[in-house]
Amino acid sequence: MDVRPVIARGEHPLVEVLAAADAMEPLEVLELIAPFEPRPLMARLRDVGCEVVSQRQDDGTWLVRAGKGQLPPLEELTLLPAPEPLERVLESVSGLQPGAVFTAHLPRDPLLLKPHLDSRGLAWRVALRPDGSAVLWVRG
Amino acid sequence: MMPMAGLRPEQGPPLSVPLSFFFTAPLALVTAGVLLLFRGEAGLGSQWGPTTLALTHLGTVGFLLFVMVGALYQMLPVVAGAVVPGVRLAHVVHALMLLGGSALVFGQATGASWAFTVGAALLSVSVGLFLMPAAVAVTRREAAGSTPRGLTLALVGLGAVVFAGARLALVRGGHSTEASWLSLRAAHVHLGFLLWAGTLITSVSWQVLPMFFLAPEPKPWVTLGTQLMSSLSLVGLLVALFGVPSGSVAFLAAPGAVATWLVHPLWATTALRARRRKRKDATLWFWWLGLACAPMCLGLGAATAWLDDERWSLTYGLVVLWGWAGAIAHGMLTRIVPFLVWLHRCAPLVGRARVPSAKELLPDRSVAVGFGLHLLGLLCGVTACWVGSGVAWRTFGLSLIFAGAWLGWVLTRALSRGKAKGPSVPAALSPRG
Repeated sequence: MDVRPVIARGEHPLVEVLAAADAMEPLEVLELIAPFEPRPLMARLRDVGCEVVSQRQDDGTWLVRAGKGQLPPLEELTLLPAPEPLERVLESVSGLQPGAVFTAHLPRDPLLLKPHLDSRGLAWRVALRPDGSAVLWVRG
Repeated sequence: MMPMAGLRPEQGPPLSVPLSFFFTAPLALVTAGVLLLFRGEAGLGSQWGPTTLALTHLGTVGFLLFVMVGALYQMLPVVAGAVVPGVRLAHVVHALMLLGGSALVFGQATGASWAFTVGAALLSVSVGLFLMPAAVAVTRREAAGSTPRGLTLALVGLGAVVFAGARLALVRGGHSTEASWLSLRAAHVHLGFLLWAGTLITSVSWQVLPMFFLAPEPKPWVTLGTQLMSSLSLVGLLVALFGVPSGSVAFLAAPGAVATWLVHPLWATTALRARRRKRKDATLWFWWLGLACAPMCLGLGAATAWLDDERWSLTYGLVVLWGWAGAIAHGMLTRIVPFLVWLHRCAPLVGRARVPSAKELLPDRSVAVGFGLHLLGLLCGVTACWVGSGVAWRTFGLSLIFAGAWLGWVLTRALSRGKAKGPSVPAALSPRG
């Protein structure tokens, strides 16, 4: 969820963010992109039982990740040329236990990877970020 | 970010389709080298000589056309989200293209008029059989953006260059006369260099440089400006196909030449210098060589137009075909073939069996040797253009044989390494490979 336009309009994204957090399934991750580190918002997310981490991005924005329960580590693969991100993801998900989650930050939408995840019977989701990179979420 | 919506990777062709074209390309290099060994002294002092024409078409048709058509069969579904109907027809296209290209080169080398006719006919049919489904695919494309638009432009360029080439071949075959032969020939050359090869290389680079080398994507004004200049030349050269003074063809080609050989290398060089992670990669050296040769192509093209010395023309053709387009195509082959082999043969087995990485299928050291041979060939070729002796041309021929043989060997080894590890991939797991 990119909350920058909401903040730019002078509004507060709290209601939408809490609604999204409430709708999250276990093992799902909510990602927020904000123009600054939204500490009050992060505190509210923690109040509703989320684990929350934040990280400043190269473009100066902040990425906030929130999830119910322990957040799976986000493997950073954006600095790998094709097809190395595919190789790394397939290696990582091949040992994924049922119910376990793997997440990775990829340089782009992993189009060529999706058929391979499908063929392995893995549930997956891809969230595209405004810079063209993608966050992949795979459940064993 | 380039628009990527609507892409359908699962609609990519079977592995055999691009590979059949890619594996034919090294044969053309070896054939060109053998031709030079046998005809090193004959007809190479002029751009009009039979051996020069045969060598040129071994480069344009035998090497570049095969690499580029193979790449388009692969790229259209993945990059443009466009399904190429009847993709199995690609094997017929390949066979006809191989026969047609061989006949054309034989006709040019020997002067046999029947071979001109047969070659032109088969090449026209094969390119037509490729262009028709490709045109259907791009008109139905789901992805927008500069690369799909550029691929469309390149397809129009290919159709035009083959149309012009077929008319020229009919004249050489004695089946027709052409009053504006010189302007038709000039348009054929410029369409081939700039609108077919140039537009394709340019558009594909906007996709592959970020993908393979983590270079930043081009700004919209770069892609749009480049394509507008190329389109201007395309319109001019299409008009030239129906008769303009031959001297004006170079002016019509000028915007496309500036876009392809000046604007594009400027962007690509800047982008590659700003890539997010700089690490040793021999396939990148081919890009550096090609990008360094691009402005030379522009200068040599101008020299050819103004200086009455055949050596400039020969050098121009050599630097365009082997220094610029040839280097980039050679480099991309060494990158794309292991990528495709890994994707089709190895990816389904990752985590289930020990599989090599794409880098292990074609190690950097092998690519570096190929680059050395390519560069050696370019230096030998340029020397031969200016020295003009039989020894110099034969040395160039030997370098082409080595470069082609090495390329064929490393590609074959990459395929066999992929096969050896993944012979029993269930069909359901393989992306139609």
